Amino acid sequence: MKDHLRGYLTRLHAALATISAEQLAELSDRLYRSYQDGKQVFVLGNGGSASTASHMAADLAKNTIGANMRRFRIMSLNDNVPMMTALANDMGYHRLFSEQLMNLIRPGDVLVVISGSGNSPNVLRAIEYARGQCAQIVGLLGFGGGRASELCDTAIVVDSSDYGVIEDAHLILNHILVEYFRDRLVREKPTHV
Amino acid sequence: MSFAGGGTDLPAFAEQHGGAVVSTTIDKWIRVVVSHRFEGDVRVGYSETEIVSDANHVRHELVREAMRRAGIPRGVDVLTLADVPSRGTGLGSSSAVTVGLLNALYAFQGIAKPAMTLADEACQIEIEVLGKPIGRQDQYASAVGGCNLIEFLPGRGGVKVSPLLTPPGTIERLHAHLLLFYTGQPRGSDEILRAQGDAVSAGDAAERMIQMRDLAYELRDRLQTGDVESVGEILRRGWELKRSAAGVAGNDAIESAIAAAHDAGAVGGKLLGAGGGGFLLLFAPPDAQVRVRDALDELREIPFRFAFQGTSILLLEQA
Repeated sequence: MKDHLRGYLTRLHAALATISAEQLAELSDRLYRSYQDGKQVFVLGNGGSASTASHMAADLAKNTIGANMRRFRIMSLNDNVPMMTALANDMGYHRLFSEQLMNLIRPGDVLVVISGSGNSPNVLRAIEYARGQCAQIVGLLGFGGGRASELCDTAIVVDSSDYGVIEDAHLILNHILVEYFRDRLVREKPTHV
Repeated sequence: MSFAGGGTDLPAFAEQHGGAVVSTTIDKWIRVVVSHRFEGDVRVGYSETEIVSDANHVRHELVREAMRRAGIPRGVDVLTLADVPSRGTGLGSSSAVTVGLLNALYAFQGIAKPAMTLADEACQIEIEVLGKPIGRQDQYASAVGGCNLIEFLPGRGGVKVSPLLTPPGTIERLHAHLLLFYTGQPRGSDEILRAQGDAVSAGDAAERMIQMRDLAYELRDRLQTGDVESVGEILRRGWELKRSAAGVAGNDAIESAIAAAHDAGAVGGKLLGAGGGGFLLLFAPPDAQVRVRDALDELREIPFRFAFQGTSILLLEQA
């Protein structure tokens, strides 16, 4: 067990160390500006990334609340089970996210895709639809970034080919973003306009 | 169209002493079209046409930065149409382009931003992101619109726009005294503004700039009592101060045109904007204007009216 512990932590640490601070800054600026302009943010993913998507939507929505401040308009596309099962059953799993976006997304909104491979068909279809709607695409990816990395406006590719490490790193990024937002909101105190 | 105080809106001066200008918007419009683009990439149309994959690759720097600021990465046609050349005129047209782009790109997303916010974001793009050595009066003037005293409060005190409250008929009489000519010469405002900015930081021109700022308040006070006749004299004094503060403002051809206009009965005249070329504004009593036009026969006269509306959305199609 000790070997597993050490081995995993070593790989996790190595993968986290490759995350570019500049790209994380660009990503957080994009999210912050979207927050200021009252835009909607959508988060999505499959499997472990689905839980990260729900987690991120909850964290950024709730853990950034400040008195008299505008609240973050963020939701995940992984939480409406009737909608998801109906879409998957009737229209195909590849349309799971794009169909939800067709109800909701507007020009300038932000789509955050969380995907280890960056190649899931339903993720790529969501990105393509959102791009066509003039939305901004943000990626939390792994492996080499896959096809998704070419289609994102800002992407953080966790340099690993281990799904566990990649998914952990994405959740850590979520917590870094929440902490950053909380600090920036306290500092800048944007009023609710 | 700036009457007095131009240059005191430069951050180097305003942050220390506070700046003030009196200006009006006129009916020379910049129109911006933002339209959903089927191809999904970006097309930008101005004197050139660019078709590029996304906003980051747009060469037109104002369009590129406005798209980035507004959060539209791609999927649009962006066209700009201008009644006057969009740079080098002294009419603040490049700032009007920036304000108009932001307003149109936000409206495309269903976001209505207050004029003051649009002006503030335009200043950030032009001054902070693109590093232009310009002031902030044009962004606020074109965003808010009308005939205003615009004050740049010292430190980080912000900007205050106050419409001139004039007796009935004053603005019409002022308009009847003004003539606008195009000198046709490129302005090269960046060098003049840099020189002006350097001079301010060096301190040698600060005293003249303070006088220029105070002329804006004097002009405001005169117009608010309906005294149009003093405006020509204020324009003349402002132009003399600007020439000495910036070292250079006009050139021989422009100076001789202004001298010829004075000989023909004009009371005051100045180049609009930083100086160096572009549009020449003259104040002449109506009965002297025929002679002034004759004296400036070789220059193209540009008829204009005051416009009282700032940036606005002309057409918005709901998706």
